[in-house]
Amino acid sequence: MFALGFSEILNVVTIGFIAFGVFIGIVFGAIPGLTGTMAVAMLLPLTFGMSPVNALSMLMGLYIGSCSGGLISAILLNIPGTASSIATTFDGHPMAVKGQAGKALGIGIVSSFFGGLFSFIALFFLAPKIAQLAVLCGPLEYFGLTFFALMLISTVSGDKPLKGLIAGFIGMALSIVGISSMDGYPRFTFGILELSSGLSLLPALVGLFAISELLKVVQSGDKGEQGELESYHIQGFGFSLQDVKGQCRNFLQSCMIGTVIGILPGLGGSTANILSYVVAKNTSKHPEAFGTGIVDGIVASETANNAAVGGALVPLLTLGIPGDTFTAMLIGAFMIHGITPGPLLFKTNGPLVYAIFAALIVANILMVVFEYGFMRMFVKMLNIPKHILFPLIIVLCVVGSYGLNNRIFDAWTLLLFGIIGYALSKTEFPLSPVILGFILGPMVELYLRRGLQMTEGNFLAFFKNPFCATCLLLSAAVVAFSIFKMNKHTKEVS
Amino acid sequence: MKKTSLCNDLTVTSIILALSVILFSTTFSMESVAVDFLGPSFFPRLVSIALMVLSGAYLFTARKTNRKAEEADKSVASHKDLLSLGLMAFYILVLKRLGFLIASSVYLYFQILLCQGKTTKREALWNILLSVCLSAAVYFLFSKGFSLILPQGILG
Repeated sequence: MFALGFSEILNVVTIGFIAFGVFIGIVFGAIPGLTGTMAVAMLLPLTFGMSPVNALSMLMGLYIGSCSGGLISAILLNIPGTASSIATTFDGHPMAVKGQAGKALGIGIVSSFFGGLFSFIALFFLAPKIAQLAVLCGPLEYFGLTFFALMLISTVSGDKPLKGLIAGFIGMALSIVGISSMDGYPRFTFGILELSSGLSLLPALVGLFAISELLKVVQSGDKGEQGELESYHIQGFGFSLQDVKGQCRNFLQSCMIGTVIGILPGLGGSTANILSYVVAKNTSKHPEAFGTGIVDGIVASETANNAAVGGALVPLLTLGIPGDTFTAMLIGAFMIHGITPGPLLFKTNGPLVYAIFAALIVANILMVVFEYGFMRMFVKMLNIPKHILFPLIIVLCVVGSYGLNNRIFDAWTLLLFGIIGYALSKTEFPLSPVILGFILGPMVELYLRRGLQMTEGNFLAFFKNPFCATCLLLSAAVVAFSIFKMNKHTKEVS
Repeated sequence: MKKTSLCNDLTVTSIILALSVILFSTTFSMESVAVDFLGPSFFPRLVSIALMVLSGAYLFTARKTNRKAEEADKSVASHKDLLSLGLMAFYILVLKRLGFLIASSVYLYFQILLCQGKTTKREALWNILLSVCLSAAVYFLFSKGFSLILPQGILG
């Protein structure tokens, strides 16, 4: 199967697209303020004319590049390029200050590589098995699973679970617009023809994430986050085997944490790197040395955040449930090419799935090559004037939305979701639940109504089904725990 | 939480509550032939009820807890944000009529100006040149390179 995947991507054009994706990903990951989500929003219009293999391979390169690129600014500037590299600053920058920037960068790059590789192997073995199990599930099981995913992302993606839940239901409400897929009746179309097919996913995604984020950084412009750039010098890999001696347990532990956190919807690399760092510190024989510039901290953080990449792809490819914001954008890319991610993907588009696996491995290798080979260029790019870059990204977002169906209506959808995202983020509502609610809303409705039709309107049947009941119980537990945590925090503050 | 932040918070949640009430009432006028409760209005009704309950609960708890808590105020919208949104709306509005090249050049120029703040004459001229070149580059990349049909407007 791997051979089949590699045969799909081992040609000059596809490798070229992967390399392009990795390069742009590293740039967007390294520059504070720019994110992988923005990069995918910018590059999605380029994929319109590509084959699905080329398009998704390029986006996989972008995913890996953007996840790993954050380490450059985390180590050299003490500013994490992405949320996935926050913990890298704790030990990476102190090492750079001590004149060991080359070593810190080298260890970060190699840890990212092996963390990613571990999660791709997990993805390769886990995903087909989960997909096989998922095919056996009925509407009740699917309802339980999608509902659990929605509750999980809503309650864990912000400080206030109530706000997360409201955001999730806002997304579901927006997904209702259009002709009902089950019975063909128009809902909230207000006689507008363009609304019959519902609000397009791509402009919604780009508007919510990219436009609202861009508006936030437009405010700060070039005067945003700034730091003093540390000098560096890398010779060979930047470190010796002696430097990483005794890191085996830390590495394996971080791989496991990253992959598992990646699989859980809504968490991703930003949680994985911090959790992994904390676990590494708590299980270390010398916890007091953490934060002073030691190798352990970089290994824990950079291994876990890249391990989350493969993890986040597991629910996307097997169940159609995005693991983080980037994979939510990837759903848009799949849909552009008429592909629906989910359990049937392995049957209907097997070669494409294995091509994605192969692309991940190639992209991981290219990430190492680029970060070692073009480090000087990436460091120079940290000074790109953002007042030019941001408006250009907005133009590209508009092009992407317009080009989807060649209609201005989708550009207005982009703006509408941009305003919604902006208003919600200004009042500290998390955005991830909105988009997950928007993606999962139609699935929740479909499985709920089918389940109720199957059981002749018996709601109790959902609790009698063991899998569905477990999911509903877990959902209730997650919500209850989050509310308990919030109340405790409020009491502490007051 | 500072007064402005709490005020914005409550305003947005109140709007969500009001919209969910409207959503709920609209579900009763939905077309349907289904005789049982499982028609097309079933799910929207469920979602609107959930939104009403959640936003009501949030309004109740926010009023109670925010009197005690003190957090940094991050929620004031700046003129730059609102102007950027206005510029984007204008850009989309004229995109079809003026065409991609002209509309994008104008948008890019003003958006760059807004992000950059005060500019000298030389910088302004440079920005005009940059806006036109970037728009042309995007136009040719997508229309020629990727066969995407972009609006030509008055140039077409």
